[in-house]
Parts: sequence; C-alpha cells; structure tokens
Amino acid sequence: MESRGSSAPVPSAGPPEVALYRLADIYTDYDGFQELIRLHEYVSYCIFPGLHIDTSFLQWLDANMCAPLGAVLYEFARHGRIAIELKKPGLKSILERNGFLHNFGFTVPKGADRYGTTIEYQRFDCGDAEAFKAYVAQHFVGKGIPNMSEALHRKFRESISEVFDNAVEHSGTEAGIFACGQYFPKKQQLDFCIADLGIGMRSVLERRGIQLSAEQAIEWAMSGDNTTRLRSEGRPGGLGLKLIRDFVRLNGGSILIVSDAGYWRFHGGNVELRTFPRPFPGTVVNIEINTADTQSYCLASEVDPKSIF
Amino acid sequence: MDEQIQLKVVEVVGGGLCVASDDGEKVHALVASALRQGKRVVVSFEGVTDLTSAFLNAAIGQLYGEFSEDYIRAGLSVTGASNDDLHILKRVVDRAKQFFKDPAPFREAAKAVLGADSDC
Repeated sequence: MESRGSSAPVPSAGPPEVALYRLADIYTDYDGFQELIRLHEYVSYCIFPGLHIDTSFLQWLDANMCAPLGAVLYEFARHGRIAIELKKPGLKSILERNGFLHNFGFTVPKGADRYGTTIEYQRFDCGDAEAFKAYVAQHFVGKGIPNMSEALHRKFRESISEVFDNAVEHSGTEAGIFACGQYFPKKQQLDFCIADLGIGMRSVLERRGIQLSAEQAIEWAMSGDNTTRLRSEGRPGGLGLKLIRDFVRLNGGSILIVSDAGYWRFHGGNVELRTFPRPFPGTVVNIEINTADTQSYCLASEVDPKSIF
Repeated sequence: MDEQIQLKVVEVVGGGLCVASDDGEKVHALVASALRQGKRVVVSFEGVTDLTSAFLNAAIGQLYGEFSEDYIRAGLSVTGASNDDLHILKRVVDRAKQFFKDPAPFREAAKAVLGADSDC
C-alpha cells in the first residue's frame, strides 16, 4: 500500500486546476489524526480551486471521524469545490447514511439509516446550542441506541452536551462545531466525536500566561479542578470534562482528545500522551462507550439538599 | 426574607434538557434578581431529564460571585432533584466557593502537570 496521504498539492490528470489527494485509512487513533493533519496541511497550501479526494487506497474510515474530517475540509469547501471518489460501495454507503455528503453540498440524497447505527454528521454554529439540543433529542432520546440502558443514555447525552458547551465556551472559532457518531453493534460500542477549528487548549492556557506543551495542556484541562476562567469573568467552569472522565472510567470506555499538536487518550484508567509533528487546527473530543454497560450510575451516598449551599 | 418564590427550571429552559450555559444564564438571571429583592427562591428540578455542570455553573455557581455563602444558604433551596443531580450540584457549588475565594490557582495546577520543580 502506498504511504498515507500525499506530500504536496499536485494537479490531477482530470479537470484542470484540481488538486489530487490520496486519502489513507482513518481510524479513531493517532495515525488517523495524523492523516487528517496531513490533509489539513495539504488543503491549506492548495492553490487550486478544486480538490479531488482519491479513496482508491482507503481501506477503512471510522464514521465518527467524519466530524474532524468535515472540520478539516470546511474552510476549503467554502470557496472551492470538493469531489470525493465514491467507487467503494461501503464508503459511499457510510457517507450517504450519516449525511456527510449531503451536508457537504454533494448532490446525493441522504441515505436511509436502515440499521439504526448512524448518528448524523452535522455542523453547528457556535451560538446555536438549541440546534445541538434538538440533535441530541433526535438521536438519543426515545429510540436511542438499542440495548443501551436509560441511565447510560442519559450519562452519554450529558457528556456530549458538556463537550459541546466546552467547545462553544473555549474554542473561539467562527467556523462552528462539527459532530458525528457511529454505533458498532457487534462491538457494543458507541463512538461520538465533536470537533472545532478553534485555538486549542494550549493557546487558551497560553493566553492565561501558562506555558505548557499541547499534550500537557490537555492533561491540565482533564485534571483536578482546573479551569481557565478568571473571577472577573463572573462564572466558574472546569468540571465537565472531569465528570466525563469519571463516567468513562466506570463505563469501561475511552476518551480521546486531540488539540493542537497534542494527543491524549484515557482508557482503562491509564492516560496515553503523544505529540504530533504538526498541529491539528483545533480540538477534537471522541467519546467511546461500552453500550452493554448496565450500571445504574446512581451514586450510593445520599446528598442532603439542605447541606448543598 | 419573608417572600418566597418557586422557579421551575424546565419552564425557564423550555424542556428537560438543562445542558447549555446559555440556558443556565436564564435561570441565573431570575434567581439573582429574586435574591437581590430579598426573596427566598426554591429552584425546582422537577422534570429535568439531562443536567450538566456547564448549566449549573451558569445557573447557580456564579451566584457566589455576587452573594455571600450565608446569604445564598438563607435564600436558596432546591427541590425535585434526583440524588445524582444533587451530587453534581454539590460539586459545582463547592467548586464555585473555591473559585471565588481563590480565583487564580492556575499556576500551581500547571506546576502539578509539569512537575514540582517547574516554574511556568
């Protein structure tokens, strides 16, 4: 198999002024994000008005990774033309069913989700919390994911809502927030991904005078009671991501965060930190949960409402 | 504080999904206004299906930036919340108290990530 990605924008043999990019496999892992970073660099320096994405070498694309894929292609798509080769039936089916192609301006109908495994790709304006609430209600309230307890559904919904709110609060982006998910019935696993094209956690901390590497910045955000908020901003923050970490630990799932050049993954009680040679242009949070989990998530200790304040 | 009002968050938010900071701000505006007028406020979580710390930080947490702990304790109470929701609320409240007492613990926390000898 050829090496992942293409090294530089080159004219294709097809229509004039169209750059060709050979997309490599995109799993929800370090290599998958490395490929998206390569694609981002490619489109950032592309001088052509058109981009042809060649998928002939693609063996696998995790559908939830359509969120960061859509984010990476978003800016180019605003002024250029994107064509994705869809000769492989599996790929075409996935991108139709989750609405990626439809949402991205392709003239294909949105495919029916016959298996109930798709959580639609969608871009949200940063100020549009109502649209995200409607999206969550559409996909996770009522029908939801089969064989997933209501307690787990609720914890999951609250988790992705925390991530969305966090992106709205901290990303500082006008490009919006991108979301997509996929349920894998055989693995009893649900992956949901939220991406933004914001300044990233490292830069948020840098603006507060804290110099950390990109991966240390993620670890900082995920630890203790840390928050970047100042008292002058009037409101505390900083609990959402930690609550998700607690939930995922109990569930046996994982959280993967990519921000700037940092890679942070929490699974099985362990944190894996890595660095990319080049940065991702924003922040991505992928939550993976074990849908077979039947825990109640009801905390044993009783809280006296009179003792809260 | 003689007068008491009950504030149902699902009515303020327009549904049971109490997850967005913006919605929390709506609740906060009403609670803070009532407290400023010297009223006692009972916040009802009846009918809430989803609740996040982001919502509670905005709705309740930031009250500690304006009012004293004693004043809030005397004027604010909650009803209709599940034990899980109370746990989150308790964490948010404890965090808010700490935040407004010590607003910039960032450097110490950063040192913890970098190691004790680091100076960021």
